[in-house]
Amino acid sequence: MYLRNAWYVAAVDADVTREPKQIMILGEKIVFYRTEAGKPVALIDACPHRKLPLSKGRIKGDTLECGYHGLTFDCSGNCVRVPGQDRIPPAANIQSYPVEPRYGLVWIWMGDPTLADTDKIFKVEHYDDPAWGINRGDALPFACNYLYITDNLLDPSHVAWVHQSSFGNSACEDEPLTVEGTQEGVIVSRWMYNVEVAPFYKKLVPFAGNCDRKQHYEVRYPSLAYIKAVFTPAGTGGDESKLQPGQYFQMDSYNLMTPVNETTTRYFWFQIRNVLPGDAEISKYMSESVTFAFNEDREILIEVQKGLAEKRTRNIDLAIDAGPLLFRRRLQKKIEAEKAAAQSQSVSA
Amino acid sequence: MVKITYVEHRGREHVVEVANGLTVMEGARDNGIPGIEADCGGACACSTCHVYVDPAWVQKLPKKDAMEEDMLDFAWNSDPVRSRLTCQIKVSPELDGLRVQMPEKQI
Repeated sequence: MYLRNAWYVAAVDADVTREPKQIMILGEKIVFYRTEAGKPVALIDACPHRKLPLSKGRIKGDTLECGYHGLTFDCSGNCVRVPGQDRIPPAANIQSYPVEPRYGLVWIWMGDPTLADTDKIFKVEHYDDPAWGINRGDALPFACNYLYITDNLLDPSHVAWVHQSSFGNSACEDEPLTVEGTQEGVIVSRWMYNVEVAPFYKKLVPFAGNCDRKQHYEVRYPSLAYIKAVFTPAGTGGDESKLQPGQYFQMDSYNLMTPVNETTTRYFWFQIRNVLPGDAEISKYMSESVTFAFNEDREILIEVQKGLAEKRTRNIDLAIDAGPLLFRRRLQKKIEAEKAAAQSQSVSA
Repeated sequence: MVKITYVEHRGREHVVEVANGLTVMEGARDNGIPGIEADCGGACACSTCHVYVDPAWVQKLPKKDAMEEDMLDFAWNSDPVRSRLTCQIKVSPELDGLRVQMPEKQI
């Protein structure tokens, strides 16, 4: 089950090139390539004739030529050439998907193309801010349903057990959480006061001693997470509007999930920080550390996928699940509303 | 203290005194009444403290908030009018005599 009228991340910029490439998104095979001017293109990855994936074909200028009989398609999916005959059958035109490059990523709209509005692409604050540093890396494949990852990213408590050597420590075990449903998604957050700085952050905080720490875990529809970590000297936390530049550390982690299909997810990520913007060593340290931590999640979630698929006892939902389950329920309602709207449209048409 | 009657699905009744300020879920839990599981402990996260409120009491209870409405959609066999999550109902003197019935199962 997926929300279709939504922007998802299809690929990192460097993975869409002048060679056609198949990427599966929401269970659909899609071929990606770039025009001569560098604009990304996405078409259904099947020639209408004998269904050879067009990703097996060749790029000719801005068009894509099937590798079997040379049917040729433009960037909108219109068939512009059928070798051996003059007539181009109307059914030879194929679906194209709206795509848009932003934040070093190629985004794709998986629903009704007439509703695609690039202003609705997930907003990333401070992306081009010279006072903030960025680190990024390759997308990670997760062999689990995307909703197990949204569960994980609305659950600040798991860091105490899964990420003991990096993001978490025992301070993260028992502090209660605030859950808030917004128009865009769900936010689970808490401040922890006068706690030790967790291992990963020790190199990054611009002060010594204990900290007040904010965990802000937010997932927006369809499955795009914004995880904000704020560290201030102990005794100065609790109100973000009072924070002074240079006195605190903030890391904004963007964890952007794209369902490949029901049991596989592609996990795109980058972090933006308010300290040491040009420090390549720090960027490398951060990318390596978060990759290590995301792989800790991955190991767990792969097993969760298997465990829940063959479950022998009934599930229990705990207080810590309030945020993740609120997100699931609201997303499910959106998906159902979208299906109902599509059905009534097809009936009236 | 107010008197609350919890009726198990098969009809067995438990009449207990519950202190003001507790929730109807906590009244069942503290008195060991079967049929209200409350896995999440009262965080409105699990829907396993679901009951059907006696029709005479439906209008007298404080209204459901959005979280509870949302959650009830996922409760087992919920009823749009009578279903409530007992962790969201605070006991007050006006609730003296409240009667609730447990569903056949919680999930």
